Amino acid sequence: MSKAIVDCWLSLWNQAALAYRAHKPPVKQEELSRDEQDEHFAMAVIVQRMVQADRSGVCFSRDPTGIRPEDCLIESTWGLGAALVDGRVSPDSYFVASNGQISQSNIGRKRYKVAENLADSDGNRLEPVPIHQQGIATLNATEASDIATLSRSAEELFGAPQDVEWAFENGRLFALQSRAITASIALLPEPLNVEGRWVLFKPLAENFNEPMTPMTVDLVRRLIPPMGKFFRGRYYIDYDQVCLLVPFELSESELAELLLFRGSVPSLRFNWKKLSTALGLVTLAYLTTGITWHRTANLRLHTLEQFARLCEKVRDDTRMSPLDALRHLFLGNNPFEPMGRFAFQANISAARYFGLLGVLKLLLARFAPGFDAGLVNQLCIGTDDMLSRHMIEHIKQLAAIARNDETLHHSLLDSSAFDMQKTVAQLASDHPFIIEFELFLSQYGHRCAKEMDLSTPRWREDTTSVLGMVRNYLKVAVSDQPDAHGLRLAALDELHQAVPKRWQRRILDYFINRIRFYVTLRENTRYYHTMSFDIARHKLKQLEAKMIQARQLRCADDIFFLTWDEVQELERDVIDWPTAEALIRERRRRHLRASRNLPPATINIDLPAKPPEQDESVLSGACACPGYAEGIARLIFDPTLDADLEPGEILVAPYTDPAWTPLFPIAGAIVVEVGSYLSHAGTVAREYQVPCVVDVEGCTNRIRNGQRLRVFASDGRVEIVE
Amino acid sequence: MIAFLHFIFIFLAGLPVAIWVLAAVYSLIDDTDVARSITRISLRSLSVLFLVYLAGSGARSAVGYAFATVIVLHLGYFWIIRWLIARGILVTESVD
Repeated sequence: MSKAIVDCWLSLWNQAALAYRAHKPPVKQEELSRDEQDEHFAMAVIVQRMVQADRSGVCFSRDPTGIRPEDCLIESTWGLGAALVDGRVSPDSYFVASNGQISQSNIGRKRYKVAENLADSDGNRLEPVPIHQQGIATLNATEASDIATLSRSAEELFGAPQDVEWAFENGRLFALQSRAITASIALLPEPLNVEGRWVLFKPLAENFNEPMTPMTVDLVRRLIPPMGKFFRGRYYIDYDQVCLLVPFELSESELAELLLFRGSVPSLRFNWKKLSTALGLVTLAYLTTGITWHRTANLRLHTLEQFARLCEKVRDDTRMSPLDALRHLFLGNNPFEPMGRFAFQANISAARYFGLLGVLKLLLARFAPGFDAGLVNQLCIGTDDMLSRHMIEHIKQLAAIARNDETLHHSLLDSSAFDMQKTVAQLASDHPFIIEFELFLSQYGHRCAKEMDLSTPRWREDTTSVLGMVRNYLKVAVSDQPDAHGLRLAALDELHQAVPKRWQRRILDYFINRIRFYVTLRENTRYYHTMSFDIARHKLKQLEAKMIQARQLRCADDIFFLTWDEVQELERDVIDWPTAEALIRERRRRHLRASRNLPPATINIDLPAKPPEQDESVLSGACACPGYAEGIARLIFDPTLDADLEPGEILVAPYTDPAWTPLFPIAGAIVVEVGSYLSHAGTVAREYQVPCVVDVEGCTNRIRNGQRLRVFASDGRVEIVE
Repeated sequence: MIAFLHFIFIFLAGLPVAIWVLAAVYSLIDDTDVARSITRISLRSLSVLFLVYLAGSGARSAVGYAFATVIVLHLGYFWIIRWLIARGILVTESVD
């Protein structure tokens, strides 16, 4: 005890305290000398019983992010609050309105907690949270309301908005600390002072809205040409470089909006000086990569299996580091290897369908002016070989098997997403569901939400969201699903009747078939090339296990907050654990802070402000699949934690990627905060003819669970009815 | 001068044709159906014959140069990319 008290007193002269006093002296400098300043301070040490918190967190009596300024914002996790403060968990967050009701909640994945018992003084205070507890809410409505009331009382007492630290011990609420909210700016975006002009790289940003972890950034940045930069885990392209290549007269904001796939295309006027540069570069690109381009056009989709075999080989090669694996799988092919092994290049090349779609629309306007342009989306859905569709069919098959087993059917429907895992684990290994489930995981186990980030557990490692999606299909009758194939054939018939000349029909059919091929290729190559991330993660996890055993690392997943060079230095004892731990702690905090805020779309470029909506209940975005739907809003922030969607509900999501795909066919419509026509949300929504609006700014903040929505997808409009 | 321009014209016209034909040659390793690959190569080769026929005896070598240029650029691109990656030269900056 006496040593601990002396340690507390000594902390008055540690570097942080000295720096704080130098920056913000509580006593006027001129009144006291430096020595007198230091002597002036005394510290009382309070000795009291430790709260054995089973849940803890912070509560801001006013939302400091400004999303819901009148509400309280509570962040909560299991165990002691240190895991939250260190950024080691994604906490649950609750907005509580002044009437005590929860206005919005977001359940985080709390994979670790700081245990109540702090006996281990070796720095490793974290322990894993059992999987069934990771994704469940830490607070109920009454508890959230009690915390909100406590923080409001503190606000009243101190006369300013407060940041209150709280804890629950055996159902009893404790206030641990209260301070003015101005001291807690950790939730606000950090200002970014950089030179140059930068535009967020939309094709990557629309796959997940959180920043990439430092390890992912460090490995990926060694694979891509320096056409941009990573700023706090998000990739931005260099506007000035792009500007040199675009041969049109465009203002700064017009070009930036084009790069963000926003707004309508302005009237284009050639800049002849730039045109010659652009043509030269396009010609050079065609001469160097044209053969690969044409090889992609003739690619047989089943030959992409060769990439999966290559991945297995790389996985088994123990001499290959995670970095070598990514380099080899992304860009390490030699030109005499079969095209099936070039999954990444084929994926980029397949994006040409967007250009072909533009040509098709022009041809349709000429050959069949009366043809409904909205039907183009039905005509150009992918082919039957699309793997995203196979994945959904596989989940439906699992649901069909579960439906035939009455016990399994009921236990899947009645239990929480996390209890479902226990139910499935209790099934015999020869149960048809288990056999089919293992087959599913062998084919799709490398997928997950945010699959391009190495820190994300794959479906193979955590099956919760897959089982949640199986449960969703238990609620849907098979006949409720729209027949996209039938709709396509009907649209094709209509087109053939609208186009009188045979040669014109042939041209249109050619373009439609090519587009369908490239749409499928784009989806399938994504299925394959993301295996590379799975392999790199596998190798990193192997290395991490070795380093934890050697006490070079102390906690699982910390490796993702170091760079590759730092991991190697740690392994060779060039840096010690305290140095690494300080880096990890700082980066985790920054990552959590950046995750809470959407990244700026541009840096040092002013975009014109969006005209204010005439009606506050109307949100606007861009159409990714036309149609109309009306239904109840269902906000889902992470399909891994919450995949519970009732048939016909309007799915409102911050972003989407292939892990969200199985939710689409049962949704009445889809509203996504980021995204574009080319994004995954658009492609799969068109496959199932589900109305989809993307790039709806602020939709996850303005729409609340349970509100009734009208989605006019063709106009890119969402109305909040009630 | 006209002969030179004629040579340049055939050379430039030969470049996309060479890319198209070489892509067909690659289908021998890309595609499991050899018969289809050979048919594709044969059909695309007709375009080379047509170009050679148009070029006349004076500019036949231009077609050959076009093929050589495409092969060098295509292989060079692959090897240079591999070399740059292996040396860690293609690195994008990251700012915290």
